[in-house]
Amino acid sequence: MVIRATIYIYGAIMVVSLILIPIIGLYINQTILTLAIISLIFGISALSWNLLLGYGGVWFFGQTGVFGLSAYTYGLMSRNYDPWISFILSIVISIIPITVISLLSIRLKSAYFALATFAFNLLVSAALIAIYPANVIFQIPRLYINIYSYKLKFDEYNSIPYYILLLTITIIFLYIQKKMLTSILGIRFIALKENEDRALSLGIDPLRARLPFIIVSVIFTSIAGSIYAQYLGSISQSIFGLDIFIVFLIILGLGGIGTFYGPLVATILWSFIDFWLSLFATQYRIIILSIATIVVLIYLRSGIGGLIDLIGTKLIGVETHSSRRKTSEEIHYRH
Amino acid sequence: MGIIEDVSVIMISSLAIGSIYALMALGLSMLWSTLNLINFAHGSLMMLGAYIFVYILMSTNNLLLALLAIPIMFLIGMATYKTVFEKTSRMEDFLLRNALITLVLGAMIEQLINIYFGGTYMKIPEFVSGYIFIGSLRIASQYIAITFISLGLLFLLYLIIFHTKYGLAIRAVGQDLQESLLCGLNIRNIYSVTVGIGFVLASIAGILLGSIYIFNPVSGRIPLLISYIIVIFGGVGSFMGTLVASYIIALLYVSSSYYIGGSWSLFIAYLMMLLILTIRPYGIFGGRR
Amino acid sequence: MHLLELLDVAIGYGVIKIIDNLDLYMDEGEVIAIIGPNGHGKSTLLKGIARLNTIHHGKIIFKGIDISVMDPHEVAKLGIKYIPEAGGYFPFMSVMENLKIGGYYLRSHIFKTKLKEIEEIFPWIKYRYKQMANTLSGGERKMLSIARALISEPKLLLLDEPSLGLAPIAKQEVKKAIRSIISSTKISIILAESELAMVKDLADRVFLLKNGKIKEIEVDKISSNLEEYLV
Repeated sequence: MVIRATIYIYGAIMVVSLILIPIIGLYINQTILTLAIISLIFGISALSWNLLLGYGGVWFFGQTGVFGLSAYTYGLMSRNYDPWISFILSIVISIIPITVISLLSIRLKSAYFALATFAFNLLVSAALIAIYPANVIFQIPRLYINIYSYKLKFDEYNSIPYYILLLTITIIFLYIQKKMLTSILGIRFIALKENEDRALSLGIDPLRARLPFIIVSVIFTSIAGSIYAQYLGSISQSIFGLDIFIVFLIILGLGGIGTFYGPLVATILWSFIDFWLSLFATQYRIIILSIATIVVLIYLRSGIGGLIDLIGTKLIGVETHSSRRKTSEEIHYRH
Repeated sequence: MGIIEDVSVIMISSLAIGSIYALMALGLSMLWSTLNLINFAHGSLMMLGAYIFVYILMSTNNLLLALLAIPIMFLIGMATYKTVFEKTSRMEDFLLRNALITLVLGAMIEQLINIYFGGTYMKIPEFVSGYIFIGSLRIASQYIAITFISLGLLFLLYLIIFHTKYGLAIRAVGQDLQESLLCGLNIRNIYSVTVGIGFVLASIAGILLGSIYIFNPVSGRIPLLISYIIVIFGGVGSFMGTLVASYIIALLYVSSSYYIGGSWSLFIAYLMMLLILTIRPYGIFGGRR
Repeated sequence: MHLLELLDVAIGYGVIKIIDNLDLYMDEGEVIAIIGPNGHGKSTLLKGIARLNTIHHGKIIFKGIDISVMDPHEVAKLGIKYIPEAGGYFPFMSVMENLKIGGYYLRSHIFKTKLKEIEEIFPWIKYRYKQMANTLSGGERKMLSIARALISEPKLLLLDEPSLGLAPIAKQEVKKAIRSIISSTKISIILAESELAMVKDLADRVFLLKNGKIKEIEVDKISSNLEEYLV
């Protein structure tokens, strides 16, 4: 594959994020690190969602459910069990219902899958609130690494390990995404989106083509959810509420559905704008961001990510055409 | 209370609730079948209608003025179409995009209502007070009133869709876009009116429900889910199917709430939806999709 | 002023041009036929006039109005009715509902009058008003599609291969219907056909459309020798 200039740009960004931010965070301003960590948590979830929505055209709307479910599972389990075991468990617990839903409805028209997964969010929150009615789960233990006698604690005073961990997870995700999308799995996956009828007539089974990607997406979102739970130290029912859900939507809408790095860029943008807005317009910030998202969805075909794609050079190997301009007769036929 | 009373209560509740659900679900079904719009904001729109109604009622103390909430919602619907959905139709992935936009809109509306009215529970005061006795049962007159109102509105909707020229046009556009173009129908106008009608139906359902139950900004979420279950069960685009399904689902929901408890009925409803999707995803009457 | 003029038009789909540098005109009341091999642009031409595809350059003037920039429904409202090869009716509506949509913009008394006229051209139709359109036979559906277009008092009918896929008897019926439209009204017709028998005795002028280029041919020459043009 031809290596284009972008790889150097992105490489530079990685260096900045690996070196600069921790340094600023440690010695100049802690907030940068917190912002970065939260950005990455939401970013990973948004990227996972983008993989399904943007690249596969899969109408998966269960993101908050998965995020909240793993956060809750981790929070509840880790009080009695080893954090690592709880971590794995929270991932497994999220995969099971989504797989069942997929088995039942992924072969049907997109809208049905959308509703089944959207309803999943409502149900998960209702179920968890029923199981654990208390408003908040406190003192969620964190992960730890014990290599021989070297203990690395992810404690409150040292955010760097979390930052590194999340950065690593993000990079791993992007790598897996790229590998999967350019493999035969990815070709089938994208084919279903580009021309469903043709893909079906070629014998591509929506279930087998999409399930791997759905599972990957769920895994990473639940990782993000668990880390969110432990980083904050406590979670409440509000995790299923509007705030987080709208953040995912905003990031995806602003960043551009189906662009490779768009969601990440949007996450960074969001975290700064949100922080800035929260300083003086807390109540309205969701409204402002929602309106901005809708405007971007209406007018910017591929969001901000698309804008970057337009300005910059081609992506490394994976193109997206989620929003090419329609020809006039298509416009007439549709509207 | 004996079995007969139980059954009567359930029947009467199902009739009332089912009629309101039918209004809600038909609005959703129209948006889905005519515009291909999966409206995730339907629940929030119910609440918006209810809150606007309450606001006018509380400011002017005039029931008739409060009814202005309905034309207001109609105009909001048309405006939303013109500013948002008409424009996204130029994009290739407009279906997904529109669905996402409705998600954002729904969340935004909930937040807006929250800001202006707060999150505390509201209730629309009854338009008719008192009780009626049927046998040994005491039923609030308001309940009877909303049943009649909904049934009346359902009949009106039926007349409009199946016995007027404009209703024919709406059905035509939902069935076949290109043929409608060939007949010279102005698709954009029809779309914007359809969205207006969808919004209106949601708000009427919200107002009616809000007169017998308390509500807050997020109370529209469960009705949204139920509307979709009804629409899927009845078959998208099928008036009769959606109507019948509304009563069946209402019956199931009311019965399970009665015997098992409110929070479980949601699960039962969801399981029913999954079951329907597995067995007969195109509805009992086999909708066109 | 001609009823319809095409000036140096290029028509196609998206970026693909099927027809280029085409000039054509017709006057009111004329019946012209476009014949030619399949895939060479007959449908494209008609769809271009109906504004269902892309016009890359050139102008289409109808009754003095430039329609090349209009939307399909505007063109239909102006009185240009396109009857496609397949479809042209709403399968899930009754015959009467189809006609009502066709006559959507008519006042109700005019609609009633036009309905009588339709009944004269298609006598069978008055027994089928309540029938669902997709339960009609192939020939009847085609005639329904013509009736639906006809009821709206069109100025120009664009018939795209009306005999396609029909049984021989049905083809005769369709030809008979077209003939009675020609004799009883002043509606202009453009008929795209690959079956010459349909065109015979109906058209005032005949054009051959091949490789996106058009050429008028002698009406008398339409005999079986013309098969050679279609290869």
